Amino acid sequence: MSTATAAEPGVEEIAAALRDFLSRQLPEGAAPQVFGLRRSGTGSSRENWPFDAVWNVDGRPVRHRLLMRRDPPAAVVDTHREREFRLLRRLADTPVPAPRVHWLDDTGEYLLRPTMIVTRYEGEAHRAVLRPADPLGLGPERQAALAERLCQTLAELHRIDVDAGGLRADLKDPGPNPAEHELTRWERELEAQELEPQPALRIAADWLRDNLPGPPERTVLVHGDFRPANVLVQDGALGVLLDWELAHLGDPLDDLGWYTAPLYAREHFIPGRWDAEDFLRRYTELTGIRVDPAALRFWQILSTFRLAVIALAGVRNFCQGGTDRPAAPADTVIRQVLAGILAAEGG
Amino acid sequence: MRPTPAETIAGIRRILRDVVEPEVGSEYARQRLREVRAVLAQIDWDDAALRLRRRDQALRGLLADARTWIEADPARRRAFADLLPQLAGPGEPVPEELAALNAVHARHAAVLTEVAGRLATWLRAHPEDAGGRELRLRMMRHLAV
Repeated sequence: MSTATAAEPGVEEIAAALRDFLSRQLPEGAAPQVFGLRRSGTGSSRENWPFDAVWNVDGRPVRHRLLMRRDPPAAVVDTHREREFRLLRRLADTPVPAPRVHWLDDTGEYLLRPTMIVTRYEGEAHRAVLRPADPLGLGPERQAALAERLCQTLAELHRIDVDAGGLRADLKDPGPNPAEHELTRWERELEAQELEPQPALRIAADWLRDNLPGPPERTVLVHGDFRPANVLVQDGALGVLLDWELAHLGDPLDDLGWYTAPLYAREHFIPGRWDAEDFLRRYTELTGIRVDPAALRFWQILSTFRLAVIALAGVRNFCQGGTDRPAAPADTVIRQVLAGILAAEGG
Repeated sequence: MRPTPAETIAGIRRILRDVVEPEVGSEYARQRLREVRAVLAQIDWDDAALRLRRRDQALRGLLADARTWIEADPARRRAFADLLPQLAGPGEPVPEELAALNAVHARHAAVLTEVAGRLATWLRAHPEDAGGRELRLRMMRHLAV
């Protein structure tokens, strides 16, 4: 494994640990074997290691397509994998196309770093899947269908009853106003991550605090990074919604603000065919949730602020040598935060 | 000056793409290599120090604006008295070396952060202060470019 350092175990050692871990989880006599373990190019909060495993089921060897999602030495987002694992387990009983999870080594006792093992699905994710370049070769009709299916998927997610679904037991209560809760969370993260003072983001945080929307009509399960880049396209259609590290209870406009923020509008909509207005209208039809324009603007700016803080976390990790992901200055996204506020202020 | 820093980086990016990348066997390493090339392309190598100097000049201007706004009103002078000594004076020298300039810029950014935070608190208590609101807008406009 080319990224391994002297302190890092090689792929053979990881594969051996994985085989032992599977032996512990499976019934006696399963005799698991691991094939093709490698680190894929994707993932920033987690390392993704695809592999196949063969073990005996009713006396016959059966091949399983699996993915090891492993904590990196330094993540750009500090996530709680046990919480994510339990959430994904609960989502298996809902219409939301979430990945199926199998096992968790929360402390890294067996797999050398905290790790969860999930089903590995066929398909491909691409952030530009809706753009005219059409990198997955869907064609205009299937692109439009996928764009609308994304809206339906977000509606399905937000229609989950967080009380009946038991989600409140696993996820933190955001308090009376999720907007205030999220702003405080990301201000604290800014405090922890900035390598140098960031007056632009401090001014933005003050503006956000002065323009908090009221509480939502209902608390929902927020994905936290809902966008075309995080859906696996299978046979030309939406297959699985990925990357649940930032999922939390909160305001439905949290996801809507991120999805409709100007920063990625070109990736999230199809101009003239499926615009932000189409998305929001359909979303309201499906959920009954009304979208207040001022509140949506707040969430668009907060989601860009959050992206800027995550970019600063990447810069910190890079400058401190804790990652092999290179990072450029976060200036562009920071300027976008202020541009959003200036637009809201009328210039 | 040839090659310029930008020319050097452009050449290195081309070599990484045309020579190194085809020889890299690991999908993971190839992806990192693409990210390295992308990051190299995002930075204005020729003008990095000049841009930093311009940004620091903008911060000095904002701090001077803040000083003017504070000194124009006795209540503000009292409320912000402890900050006034930190606000940039007109004759402060501009360092020639990048590291020194970076340190001065970071110090100015820290002072502006403090001023902006105190301004936000002031405006919550004094929403009628049009000059304060204008100052905050000016800060945002300068920092947004």
